Amino acid sequence: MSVFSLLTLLFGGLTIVGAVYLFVRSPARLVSAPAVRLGFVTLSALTFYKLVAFVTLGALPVAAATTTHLELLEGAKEVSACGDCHVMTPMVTDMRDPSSDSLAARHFKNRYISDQQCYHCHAGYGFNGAFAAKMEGYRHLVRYTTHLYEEPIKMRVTFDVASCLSCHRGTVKFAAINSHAVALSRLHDGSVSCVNCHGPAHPTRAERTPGSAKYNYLMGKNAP
Amino acid sequence: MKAEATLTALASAIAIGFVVTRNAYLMGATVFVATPLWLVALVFYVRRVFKELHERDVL
Repeated sequence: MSVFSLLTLLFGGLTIVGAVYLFVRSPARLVSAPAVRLGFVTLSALTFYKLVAFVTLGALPVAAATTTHLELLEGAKEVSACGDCHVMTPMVTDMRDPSSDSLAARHFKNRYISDQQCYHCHAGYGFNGAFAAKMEGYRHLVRYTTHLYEEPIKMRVTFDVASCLSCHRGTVKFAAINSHAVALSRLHDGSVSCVNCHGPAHPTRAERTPGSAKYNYLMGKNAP
Repeated sequence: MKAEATLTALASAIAIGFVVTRNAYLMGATVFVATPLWLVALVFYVRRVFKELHERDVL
């Protein structure tokens, strides 16, 4: 469990405890209640109530909301977070399958990307890329939780090959292929994509369609 | 204060549920339900504090 998760548990737990206190106590009855000692300080019961109210309704929710969203944004980089939504399960199953030859699986089994594989390819580089990926994640969350999607899902935009080129361009292996020099300008203008030559990145839409021969396997239910 | 306390506790429970289970629906509920609940409770609390300060002629 990450630091942000633990902090969310702490702040959220304290908020609930404070909320229960505020719920069962009535300020009107606290005027004559005995004072409360907090270490070196002695507070009237009403002042203590107001202090609890400030912490429970002001400070702790702000802290809990901050850590929760940080956990959400950081945790969303993990492959497991993508796999939490069942429409993504086929991509994750295929990527982790050593016998698969999809682009994602080849990157995964050869450890071309050591961790956060989905995020590395699907988030653009730099602050703008990360920000756009996070916003896209929130959009996915809306569509998934409200069931505004149809299986098999498809990408809304054309995959940006800049993600591929940022690692591969300039390498000896890349430069050794003559057609890469020809394809480079066409890759930049979007008229061709890396997957045109290097195979599908993920299982095809036909394979991901419910009822297809491979569907149950891709959903992790049984072997193909 | 009971209404604010209830909203805040509910929002916190949703957030705790999300970090414990990692469920996608609770993730959505955290963003689209818990966060607004926290904000609403905070706004009501701040409004209450300002009202009390105003009644005491502090503001």
